[in-house]
Amino acid sequence: MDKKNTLSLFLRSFLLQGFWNYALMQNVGFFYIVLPQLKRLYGADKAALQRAAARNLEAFNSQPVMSGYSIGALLKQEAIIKKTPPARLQEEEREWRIIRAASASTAASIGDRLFWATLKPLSLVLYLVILFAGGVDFLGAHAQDEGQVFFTAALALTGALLIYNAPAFVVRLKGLLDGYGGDEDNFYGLINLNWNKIIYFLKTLGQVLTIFVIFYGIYVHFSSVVIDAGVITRFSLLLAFTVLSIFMKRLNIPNIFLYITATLVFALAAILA
Amino acid sequence: MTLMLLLCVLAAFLELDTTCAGQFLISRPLVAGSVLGALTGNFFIGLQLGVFIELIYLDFLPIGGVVPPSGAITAALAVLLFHFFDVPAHFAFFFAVALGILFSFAQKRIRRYRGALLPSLEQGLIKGAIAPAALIAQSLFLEFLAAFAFLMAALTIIGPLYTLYAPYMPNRFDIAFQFSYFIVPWVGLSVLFISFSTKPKAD
Repeated sequence: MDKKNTLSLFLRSFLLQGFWNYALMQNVGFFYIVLPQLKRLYGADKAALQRAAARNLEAFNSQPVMSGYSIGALLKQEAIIKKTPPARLQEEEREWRIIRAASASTAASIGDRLFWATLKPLSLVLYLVILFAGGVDFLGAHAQDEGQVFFTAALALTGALLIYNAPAFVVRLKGLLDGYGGDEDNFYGLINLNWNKIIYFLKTLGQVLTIFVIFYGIYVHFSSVVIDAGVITRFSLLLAFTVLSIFMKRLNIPNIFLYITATLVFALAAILA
Repeated sequence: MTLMLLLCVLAAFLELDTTCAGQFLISRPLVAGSVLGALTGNFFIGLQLGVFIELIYLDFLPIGGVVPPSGAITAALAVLLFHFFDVPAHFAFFFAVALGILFSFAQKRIRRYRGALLPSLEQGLIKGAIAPAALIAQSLFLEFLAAFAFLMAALTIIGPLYTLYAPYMPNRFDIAFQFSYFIVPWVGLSVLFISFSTKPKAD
């Protein structure tokens, strides 16, 4: 793959989910990404191009950032199919489908854990750390200088977007190249990096930073509070809800429902009181 | 009205980043909330609402076919209700979160609609009669329109309704919403900590 084709694949890959549907998921987006390469590969052979188009329009689902590994590997297999004599065509097409199933699901599993479950929350916690470090109390406990809030928040936003997007761009591009250059031995480039080690390191970093945010938040919010019955009641309720939220998380129930229920219960209690 | 319209256009455009295009995370609530807050002159409230929405939506991951509530739509509704209809942040947050969940149902319907449309388009795509780029462009436009229409409808219904009933609302009601708003970041931060757990899940 030359630079021009790699760039085309890279740019088009941002629209992988442009036609996401429950029937065949990212199939149209995938087809949109690979179509110029298929046209280049099959040239004037219309029948072969249509056969390839039908194959490339089958169901596809992966994690968008990591999908490059699958796309690269499948394009390489497509080049093999192109050179295959008709007698062995079905065999190579079956191999293409095996590569798609294996690489897409493995890439999705790694991508979901790395980008959605680690880097996204890590960028949030980094944002909160920068806010606190810049003297901005996002909990709103104290009056704050607007200029300082704006400057710090802009810095925090840039940091949060960078910590997610910089690795996402690198992995997106690396995935295409490694996927195309890989084979079964390195699982189409997917085992070139020790993903588990990276995820473990980032999650540990996230835990440390979150502990800092929680304790600093408690200090900022409660250090100047005069302890009385009202404060103790508020703090006890807060603690109860925090514990409840942890249990709900363990049960895989989104905390949004805890918030909505709590609001409705409080509102009902307010009406009945 | 013109400013509200323009801000809804911006929010609907940002919403495309959630799943359809790019996924640069410019649609996340802390970006959308801050940007819309800055444009309406309520930067700190926009920032706070954005952070709180981000924390409460942490549980939702856009894995597989999951359609998480839209952070951009929720943040936009919260900030715009606060700015245009003087809805206090604790009420605006509640309305926006509930409407954000409602919008995810609309998005699921769009996905089903696209799936139902696919068999009739497949042959055209294979034969080259339909360009996938055109199909994606139409799909993005539909998503944009749906988000814009939803935002405008929600704002023009909820905003005036709140203004109408707010004078009759008992003070205790206000305290109840304020308290549930107060617990959001703490609950969110505890979930954030758990989300970084390095232990493998039992299931």
